[in-house]
Amino acid sequence: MITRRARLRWPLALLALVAACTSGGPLTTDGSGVVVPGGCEEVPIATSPEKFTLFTSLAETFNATETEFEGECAVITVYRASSGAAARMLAEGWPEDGSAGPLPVIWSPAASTWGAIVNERLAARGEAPIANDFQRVMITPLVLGMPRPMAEALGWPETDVGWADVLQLASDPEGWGALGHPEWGDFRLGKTNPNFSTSGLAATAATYYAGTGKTSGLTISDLDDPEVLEFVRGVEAATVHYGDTTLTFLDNMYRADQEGRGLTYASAVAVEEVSIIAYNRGDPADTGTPGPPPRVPLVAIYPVEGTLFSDNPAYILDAPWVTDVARQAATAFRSFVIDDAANQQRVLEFGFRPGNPSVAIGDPINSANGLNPNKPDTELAVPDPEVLTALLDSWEENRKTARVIMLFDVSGSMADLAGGGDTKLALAKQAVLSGLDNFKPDDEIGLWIFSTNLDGDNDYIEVIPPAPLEDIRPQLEESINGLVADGGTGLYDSTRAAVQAVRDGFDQTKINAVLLLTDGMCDDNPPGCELDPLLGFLGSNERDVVRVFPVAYGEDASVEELTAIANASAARLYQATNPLTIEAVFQQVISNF
Amino acid sequence: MSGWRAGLVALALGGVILAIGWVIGRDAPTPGPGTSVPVAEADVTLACTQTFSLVCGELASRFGLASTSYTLGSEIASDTVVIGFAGDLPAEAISFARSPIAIAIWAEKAPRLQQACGLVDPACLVGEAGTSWEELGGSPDWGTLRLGLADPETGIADLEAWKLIADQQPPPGFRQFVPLTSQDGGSLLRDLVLFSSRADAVVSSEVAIAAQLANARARAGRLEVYYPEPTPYLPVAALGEGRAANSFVESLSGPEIQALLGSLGLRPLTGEPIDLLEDLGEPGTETAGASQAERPALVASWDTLIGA
Repeated sequence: MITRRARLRWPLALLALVAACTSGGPLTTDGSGVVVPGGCEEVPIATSPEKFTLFTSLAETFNATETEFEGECAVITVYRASSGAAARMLAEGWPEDGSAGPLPVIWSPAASTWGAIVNERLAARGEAPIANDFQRVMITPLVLGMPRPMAEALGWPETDVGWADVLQLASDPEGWGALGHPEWGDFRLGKTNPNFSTSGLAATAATYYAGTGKTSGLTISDLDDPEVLEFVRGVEAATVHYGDTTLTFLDNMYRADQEGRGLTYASAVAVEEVSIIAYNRGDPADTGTPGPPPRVPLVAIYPVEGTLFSDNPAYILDAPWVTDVARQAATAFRSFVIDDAANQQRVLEFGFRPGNPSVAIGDPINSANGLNPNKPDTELAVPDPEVLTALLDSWEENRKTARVIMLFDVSGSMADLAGGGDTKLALAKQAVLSGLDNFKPDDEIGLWIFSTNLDGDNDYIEVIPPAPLEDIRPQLEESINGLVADGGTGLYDSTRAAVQAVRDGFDQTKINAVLLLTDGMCDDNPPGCELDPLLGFLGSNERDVVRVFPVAYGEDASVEELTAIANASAARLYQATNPLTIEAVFQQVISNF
Repeated sequence: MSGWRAGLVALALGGVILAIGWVIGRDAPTPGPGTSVPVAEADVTLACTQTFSLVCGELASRFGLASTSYTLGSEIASDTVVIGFAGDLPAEAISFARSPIAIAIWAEKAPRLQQACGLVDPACLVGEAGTSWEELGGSPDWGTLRLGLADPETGIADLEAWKLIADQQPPPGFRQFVPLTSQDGGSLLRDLVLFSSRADAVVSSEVAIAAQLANARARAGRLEVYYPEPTPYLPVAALGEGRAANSFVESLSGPEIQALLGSLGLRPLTGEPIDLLEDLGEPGTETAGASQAERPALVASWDTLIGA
């Protein structure tokens, strides 16, 4: 008999890189609300967010069968867990405080590469692999989602479109004017950060491949080829901003669409095919409660140079916390989802391609939704681990540079204790200082602080104007360490002034943004706290948009107001309701740059 | 348990079993080598690897049995029959069919490759791997000729498939032309259907290919099957755990199931199959597979060229 021996396919360098890049990554845990009856065993699934609604629905059906395992009842529950963050926690230890949900029995990241990463990281510590037993629940290819009129302007669907077209249009000083549509402005690309997002990693690998003309066998020397780097830089230059999740782009695009500005936010977004369907249903964030369909639907461009798939495995973990009953229930549930054709039809209804090959691809993956079930023509090979490591390093060097003002709340409430004996300000300082490592040396960073009347009537002070981080880092760190909390929260005029300062020095070649961290709500003197004028100001310039990424810090921050600020500049709100999470949240925010 | 042992056990326990069957209203099978037993009444579970998913699925469906997946080397549960290649199962497994190694290639591309090479065989696959389809007379949209292979450490069929390729002495850098690698032949074919643009051709067992022929048609297109000359054949065997399971194993050699082999993508140990799946063809001259002595070198060559 031939038996399989364990293999190590991912080098430690990659594991370290992934660990570093995903540390502090998001883990949102929204249990499916199922109440586990006393005496029943809970069998938790940790799934990447885009499958949460689907798994919740399937688990509900499965639980209704009330199947017993070894005479005991078991209940499937579903929790959201972003792939990178879950991989890190499975390798380094799942939080015992319940903040990340219960230890999973089934883990379903977006791609099976994450399972290999977990095993390698465990192996590095001399521990046995736990992500061994997997089956693909569903698959979905990475595509470029484009508003239909824009795709048609590029010749879609008759003409195959690819990354080279993106590069050509992005490099053209006329932008869309080169194709007879000057009203659409420049070509803008929405692409997530490959260190955080599976889609971002796939899109980045695809652009490097496109630069070489290869479809497999990408090498480290390819990554140093000047022509390849020129191609990659050209594509990256079109990026609106990065970020940890594609939902940010789709949400912003949908909001712009509903306001009649569907062609202004982004010309294309690198997303999974399934996201196009969710968007066209009016539910870009996959909440299960769709709004009106978009006025301008998206269509999928399957890049002619080739693309990669997310293969959505369901692992039944070989972990000590998985009991025999839980394993049996998990196996039965996985079989229920994959082997039962009716359930694979439900997978299809959600817009994924079924992982069971006996189920044909059909609606809603059709031309009416801007999709082509017969595409892609070419699938790109996942690069070797060492190449992937080098690719991420190369991307860090060649991605679009950022020009960011960090606008920091130093109001008196920041001196409140936040847990563990530290003040909110102390935790925030530490988060910012750690976060500086995630910028690249030529990113231009500025530091402003605000409370009330810091500089005469002004509620804000420019501590350090934007300058390359490599030139100002010691000064910046010293300034951050020296911050003290006092006064009120002059939020709106400070935000307005910071945005105006970035606008004044707007650089088309960079991501121009304000990172706003506040723990309160505006309490300035009237009329300083009228929100509408600020929102009008933030949304007043569609071409040279300065995006404001607010962090709602602590329980007293006004999520509603900060969401409005984020939306007005087509950015995204981040929440660190528990101050102890600020470091992780701050890294998510920085993933946008 | 071997066939004669199963027979003796069944004989010794026959009276008791019949009595119990009468009491609980359940008929007891009365097995015997080569006889047509009442398999529909056997209370067993069929366990198969992905490679034999069609075999398990069809037999379970036809005879009202349960079926489950099986991982090579794992413990066999009671009242369970494991079906696999004889070389992957313990020596007491009973062979009841065989399967040749074959090449599956997407039908629209097959004529182009045949035209370029004269024959679609391992030499052609290795020689033309990485060649653009445009040069081969196909569409430039197809990119280059890319292959799929399974890890030869997993099972005997995957080892034989790799031997066919390795015998052609693929050059260094060959790995870049093999973007589809899977843990076993069944997974390889499943992956080929799921990710149809990942590879153009795969080498695997005929039974693994047969399991996905219908899925391929429904999902991505037709697969065409070619056979190397000469063709290695592998015996397919079954091993039961428990009395009823062993009875079922015996019945696999009986005429009722032997008549079904062709529809399962299997061939009888001797003679021609009946009602063979229509997409399957005529293998080449039968040849012996890799010897025990050859196996370590084959695995090493895989590690060097593909897997390491």
